[in-house]
Amino acid sequence: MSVSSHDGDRGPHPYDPVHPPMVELQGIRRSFTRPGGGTLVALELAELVIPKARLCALVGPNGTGKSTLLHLVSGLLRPDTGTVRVAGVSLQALPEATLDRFRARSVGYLLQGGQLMDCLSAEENVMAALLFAGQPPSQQRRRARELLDELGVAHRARHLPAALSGGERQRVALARALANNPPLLLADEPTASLDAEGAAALSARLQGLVRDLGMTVMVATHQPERLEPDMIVQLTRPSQAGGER
Amino acid sequence: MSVLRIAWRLVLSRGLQHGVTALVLALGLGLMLTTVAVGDAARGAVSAMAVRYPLVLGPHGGAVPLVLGSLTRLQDLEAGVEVEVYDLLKIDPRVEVAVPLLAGHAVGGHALLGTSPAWFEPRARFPLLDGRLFTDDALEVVLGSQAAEALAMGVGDTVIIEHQHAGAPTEPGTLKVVGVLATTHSDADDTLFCPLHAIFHSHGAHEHAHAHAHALMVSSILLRPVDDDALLSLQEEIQKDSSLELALTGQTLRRIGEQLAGGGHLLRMLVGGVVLVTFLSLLMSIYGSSLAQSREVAVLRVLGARRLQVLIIISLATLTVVLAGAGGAVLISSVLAGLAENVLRTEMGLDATVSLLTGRVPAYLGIGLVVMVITGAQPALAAYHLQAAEALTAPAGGGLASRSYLRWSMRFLVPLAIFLWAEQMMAQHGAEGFSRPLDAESSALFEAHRTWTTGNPPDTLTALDGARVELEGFMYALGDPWEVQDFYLVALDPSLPRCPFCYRAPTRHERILVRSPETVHEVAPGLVRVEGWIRLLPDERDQLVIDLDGLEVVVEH
Repeated sequence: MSVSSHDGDRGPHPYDPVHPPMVELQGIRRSFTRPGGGTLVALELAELVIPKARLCALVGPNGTGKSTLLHLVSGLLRPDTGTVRVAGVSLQALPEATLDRFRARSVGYLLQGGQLMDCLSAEENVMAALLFAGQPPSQQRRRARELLDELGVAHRARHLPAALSGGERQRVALARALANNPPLLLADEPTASLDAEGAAALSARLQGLVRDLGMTVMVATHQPERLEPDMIVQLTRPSQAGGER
Repeated sequence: MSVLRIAWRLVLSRGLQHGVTALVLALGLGLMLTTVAVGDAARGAVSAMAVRYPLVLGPHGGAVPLVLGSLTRLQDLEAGVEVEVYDLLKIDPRVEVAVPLLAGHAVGGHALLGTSPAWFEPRARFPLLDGRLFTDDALEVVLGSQAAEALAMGVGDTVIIEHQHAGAPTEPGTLKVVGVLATTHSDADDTLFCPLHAIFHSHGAHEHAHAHAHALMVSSILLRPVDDDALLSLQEEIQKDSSLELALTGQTLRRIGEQLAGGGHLLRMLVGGVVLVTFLSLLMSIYGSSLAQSREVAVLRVLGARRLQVLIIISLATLTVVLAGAGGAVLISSVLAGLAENVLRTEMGLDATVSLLTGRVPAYLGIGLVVMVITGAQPALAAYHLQAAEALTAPAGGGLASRSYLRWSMRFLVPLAIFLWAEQMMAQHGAEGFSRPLDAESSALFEAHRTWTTGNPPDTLTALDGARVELEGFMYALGDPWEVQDFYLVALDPSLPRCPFCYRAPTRHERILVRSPETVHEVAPGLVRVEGWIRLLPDERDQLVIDLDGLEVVVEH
């Protein structure tokens, strides 16, 4: 893994004890059991520190653990070894229910391809995120409308995802991810299904989140040039020696 | 937005799949409930008949046609019992009720039944729409509702009795309509009822019989003795007349049931097959649904839904389908039950009420619901345990413990299949109706009892007085074949076809009274084994009594 930074002046130093980084991983190893038996090491990471208010691109070929890294940071996965800290909170120390609450309130997740719930309308998809963060029903609809309006898809609020275009789906998914004003936004291949124009718009929007709201954004992507990230983390395929049987 | 709304949306999103699943459930469960309800109703109707008229007397020719012809419309009756027998039984102190039946006539295509007013007991079964019942010695007739409507007749009109063939010795007789029955949804609706005397009179039969020394005949007589002793006494007395047949209603109907067991077995197998297919369909549908919704569950987890919330959402979605299926089942079985009741009443003459609220139906519905809920619980548990990260990256169904689901289902399905199979096999074996020799101890006891006709009991029996015994034999129940408390144990299987030359009902020295403080068993078709304390009661008609004292009758198949 290698890390390159384009801008060192926009936030605290990664090791500043007064301003802890948004994401900090150390000595991470995560493996999976293969369906036919044996284990596959998906991610090995000695150290990664991402300061607050940065747009960080995770790059690397397929199978280098980009999605796994995002899952670890979101708390969906726990590492075999190592520590994951987000906003100063050590995730492995949290019980699962607390981790779920943390994810609902502090992490926005833009899944690959949007991944909206097909049974819910655009508006309801956003409201679902607010529901699990504990927002009262009276505020769910107002906030959902507000976000959809901001992202220019308010007129599609009542439509099911199947009726939306790829770009609209992506914007609804972004609205859902931003519903609870999370300090950390994770995005998995957000531009993969977009044309150049859509990708540029999304990139500008992510840049705006970082610049205007101080949000930290981690993006797994094959096209970092479309995003103009503050830092690029190059992931390499982990060594399977001793791990793959 | 609430978890309930999400669950409902999940159901709607696969509306066709869930709708078909609910429909299959409704059909399978509904068919099963209907079968059970109809079985209970038929059995209840037979029990009521056996209690109302424990004995049926008719001409010699077999108990089965006699009972079927007298109590249902499944068999035609021919006159063959002298009316004098009825006259004697009517005043016999051992007889509580005697109802004569004389069939074979018709009015405008509707059956005319010669009987007595006692036929209409209990009165609540046959309310009158208009008029009154006929009196025994008058030329009067009461019309069933359907017959009255078809004949366009009412109280005060005159009915002409048709003879069965041209050239009858007398002119057709006339009867005055004195009453019309309300609709009973039974074969009574299509029947006309008159006194025996009216039919005899219309044929000039009194004069004819007198002139030719011929006896007047009835088809059969329904009897209700005052008690079991009276029943046995009547049985012993009547069976001395070889021209007569005296059938035990309950025992005979039970025997008919056994003879029809092959058809019943086939029906059970078919219903069992439908239930099994329903269950498999439910399993597969829920399995497919689980795979399909794994991605949605993963997304919910990404949004911060706790595992418990996911469990509730999927459980609610599954429960909606299951409850829709159960509701449909109740609806379908209600419709089928209504149709079946109509067939039982009008086509078979059984006074049956097919109810979904009584008997075994609520229990079966409960079992069906529990099975479906348990089956549906597994996808919810699988969703609870789903690894969201795997489900998001893997193909459809990834992250779900699908093999575990199938294993779990098989663990549930296999015992159920074994249970169903065992039940079928037991029912099949029990219906064989074969006889076999008793064990040596039982044979010796029956033989000692048989040879003890007068005086003190033989030493072999005296030695057993107060002892605990295990005895083999066949149940010989006098009343309701499904609510047996006291019954007789006999050495020969009473359900076997009877030899017309040598068969007679067991005498008091050929039967052992088995007493129990509570209902012990329905009449078992095969060999049974009882355990209890034996007592000699010479003061009770020299009977050998086995006091069960609450012990169970062990039925050996």
